[in-house]
Amino acid sequence: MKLKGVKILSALLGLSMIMGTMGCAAGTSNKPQPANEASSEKPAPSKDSAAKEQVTLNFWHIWGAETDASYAAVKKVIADFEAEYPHIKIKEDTTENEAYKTKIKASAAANELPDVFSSWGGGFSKPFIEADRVLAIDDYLNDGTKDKLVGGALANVTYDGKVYGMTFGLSCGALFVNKELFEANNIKIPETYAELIDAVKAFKAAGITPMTLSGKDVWTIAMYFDAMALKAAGNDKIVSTLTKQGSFKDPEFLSAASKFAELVSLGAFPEGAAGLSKDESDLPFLQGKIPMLFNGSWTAGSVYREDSLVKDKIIPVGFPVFEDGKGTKNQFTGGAVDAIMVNANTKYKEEAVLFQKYFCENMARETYLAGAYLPAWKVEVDESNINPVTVALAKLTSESESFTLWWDTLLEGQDTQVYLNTLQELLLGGVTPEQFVDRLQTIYE
Amino acid sequence: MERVWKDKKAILFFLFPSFIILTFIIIVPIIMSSYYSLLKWDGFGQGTFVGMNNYIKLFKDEAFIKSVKNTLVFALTSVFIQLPISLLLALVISTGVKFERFFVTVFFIPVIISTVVIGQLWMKIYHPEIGILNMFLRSSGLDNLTREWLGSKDTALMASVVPVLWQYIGYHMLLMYAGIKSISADIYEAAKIDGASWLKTSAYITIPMLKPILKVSLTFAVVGALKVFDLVFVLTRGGPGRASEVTSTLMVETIFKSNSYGYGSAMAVFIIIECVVLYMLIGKLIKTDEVT
Repeated sequence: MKLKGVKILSALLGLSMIMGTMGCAAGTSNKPQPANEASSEKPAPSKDSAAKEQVTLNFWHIWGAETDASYAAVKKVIADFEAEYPHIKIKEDTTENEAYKTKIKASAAANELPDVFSSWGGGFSKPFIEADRVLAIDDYLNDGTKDKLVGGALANVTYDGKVYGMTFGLSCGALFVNKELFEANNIKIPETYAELIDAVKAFKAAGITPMTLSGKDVWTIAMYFDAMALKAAGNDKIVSTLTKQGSFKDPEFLSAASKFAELVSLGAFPEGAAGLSKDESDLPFLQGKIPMLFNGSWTAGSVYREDSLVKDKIIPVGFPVFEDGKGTKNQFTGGAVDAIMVNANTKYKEEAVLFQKYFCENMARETYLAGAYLPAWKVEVDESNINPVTVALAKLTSESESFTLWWDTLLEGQDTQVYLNTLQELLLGGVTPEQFVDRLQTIYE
Repeated sequence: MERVWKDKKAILFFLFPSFIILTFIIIVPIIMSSYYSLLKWDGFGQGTFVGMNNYIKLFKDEAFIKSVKNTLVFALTSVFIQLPISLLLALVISTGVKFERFFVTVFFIPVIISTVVIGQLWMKIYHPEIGILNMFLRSSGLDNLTREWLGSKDTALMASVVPVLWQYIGYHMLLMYAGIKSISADIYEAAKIDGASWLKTSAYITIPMLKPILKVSLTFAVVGALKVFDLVFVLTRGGPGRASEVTSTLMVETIFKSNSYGYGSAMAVFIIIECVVLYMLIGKLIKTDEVT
């Protein structure tokens, strides 16, 4: 009896294993179809313009989850486009952000990119452009499109002087301050570094931790340092140094590192911040216990939630300028990074670029209305229904001279890790500001 | 059963599927990793063959050496702290204390809970302000003992070791408990008649007869410690400043964040070799006649 049971069990096990492998085999053979093939639909005369060829464009993007702040905007813009241009159909394919990065890299390597796809500017798309996978769109931009964009909107999608993609929204770093806490303690919201130090000391004296960051999610430290380096060295110098045409040993970087170390030694950041995750370290700020947080413009979302304790108390300001620094108050960290690109080998270049432009221009408006991004296009909307913190951010950056990409986007993978790990050491006091710049300089080797 | 063993076709039939699976999900990836480890490759585009350079680089890399040391701390503490506790618990519970099954279940619970949940749990325990550990120390007047447990370089490693040990105590205890229960009651009766105490019975009967199980536990504990990743990743991400970095967290950082696929693969191969060597070493150290 027992033996029989064992036999049945083993047979079942064996069978399930075979099924398992068959499942795998079926899965691997189900490769994504080459984009060009799928889009070569037979031309069919459309209602209004019999002469126009019926075109289907494949469009891959990352806004497929209903929880995504941009989800509704994407749906609306695509529907509007199809209504306006009935001879063009958009076939969407969406993938979750992190998986998408792998998928798009693999498709680019295999030359199987769709007609239109979302990507990221800066270092991420560089290999695609170097492999001639992406269409340069300079020829299509002189019809007035350039005038509709805000300054710097194409900076991160320009490679070797040519524009390879289009952006719709931008994010920037800002110092979110709790004005109620500042007023209650009679402290001035800092505009210069000296005032920042005064504010830090005053809050410490009142028993309040002045700022917060997470040492575990290292990029949150980089948010602060990117801004401080910008205020010390100015946009041009940062870009040239990070693209390896300069030196981290210039005094500006040492100045930024020393000032960061000074903030640390003054106790500007919470005790134990090095071991906290971003959620944990943000909590006291969102509870109104910590007056300052420097992070991306997306923070507006968590500040202005229905149940937020600091809903009407937070205003965004720029990072205080350095008296001895080269960066001005209108230089910001961040920029327009999310980009829409067109496959260089698409059959329908005209239609794809038409869609690319239409999508970006309208997404700029729709995602701004949704409070997901600041617009990278000059849009006119009724701002009364938008998250006021987002509107304040848009006002703050309306005079912007430049946006300097975050170092961890601008630098390539390995260099990013050197930067982030060394920065964490600086926060812990493991390296001096001098050692910090020396280690950054190893990126050049 | 005899007939099944003689039937070659049956053996083939039953072994073939697992052989295929083993080949494709374990052996082939190992061979591929070994090949990648000889390349300088960013995971995208073409790699260049660099021979043993990645391995030479490994042993000059401070971060890697630190991570290996930390991993060995995990292995040693598992062997010398975790296993003795498990053994003691198993010995005590198997004597037939009241609510025997209840205790077995209670000690086994941490094994069932998802590691991420355990990570969150201990993060709350260690939290510098609202954490129960620091609150307890403060309320008992031991303020000078409070620490930023996960945020300080001095304590981060030990603070990540403790939850790992705690989590798997129940697992090893269950293995040993089952082993003890399978030892024939006659032997204990004979010992009892001869007047042997619990301590003596344990030392001269239970533990020696438990040797095969202890070997299994030891192997699992050591290999598990060498591969430890999840809890460390959740608790500290290897930080602060590499204080609690283990080889596997460093490997993941190298491959997926630094885009150094080749160099990261060399670390993967190192972990495999490390595991195999220690496994064989344990086999040599503890010789068992019985088939385990």
